Amino acid sequence: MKKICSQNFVRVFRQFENRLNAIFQRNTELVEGGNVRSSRQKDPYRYKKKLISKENVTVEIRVVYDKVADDYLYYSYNIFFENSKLMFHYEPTHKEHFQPHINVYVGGEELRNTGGEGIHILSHKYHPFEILALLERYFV
Amino acid sequence: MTGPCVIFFLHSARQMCKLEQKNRKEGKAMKVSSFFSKIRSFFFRSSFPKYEEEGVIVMEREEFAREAREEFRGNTTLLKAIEECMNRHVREHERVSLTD
Repeated sequence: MKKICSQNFVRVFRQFENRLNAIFQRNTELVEGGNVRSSRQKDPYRYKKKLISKENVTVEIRVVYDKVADDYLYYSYNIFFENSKLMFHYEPTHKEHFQPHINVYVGGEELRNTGGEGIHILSHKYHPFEILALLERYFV
Repeated sequence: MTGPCVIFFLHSARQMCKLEQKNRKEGKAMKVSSFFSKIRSFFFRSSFPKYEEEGVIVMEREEFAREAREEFRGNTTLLKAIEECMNRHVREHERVSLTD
């Protein structure tokens, strides 16, 4: 993934926010969050957003970004639709799973192996604009 | 506290010299109000350089920590990671705890 350098994080998420609002403009029922939260020091950036469309697609986003290391500390981009979910996660402190990973839930059930273990599909570190492209292509 | 004050006064003195030189060249008397407006603009520019962008909420560290604690309640490992990030380059009294 191309790094979202600390100076650009605000700009990237502002563009993300504007675009997300634009693509769901006519069919959104609920919107929460959407601001980048920061402190004047070198603390991380945080971005949180929840959006529910009239077609009942729910998008939940939570991002924590380390300004100094210029890398994510955590992200979760969750897309809920018709009793199914797509969950894009990155949580390096959870070492028992592949990081970053994607979880798939179909009909309320998580995709599992024969041993009953939930499958965490290894992925690359997603850029917010890639998630945006996915939302535009399949959920609007 | 002394450091920023010294820098501020040095900068003010330098600004004043520059203004005087400019005014001498132009043959004008220096206006006090223009001098203070220069200082004010310098002060505001240096304090808030990159938070003028729309959609950014700038918070106190304690407030920021409190929100993070609420948002990720129960996820101790992640809270620890955020806490480490926040306490990396700060003095002892500025440290915050997200996991107590």
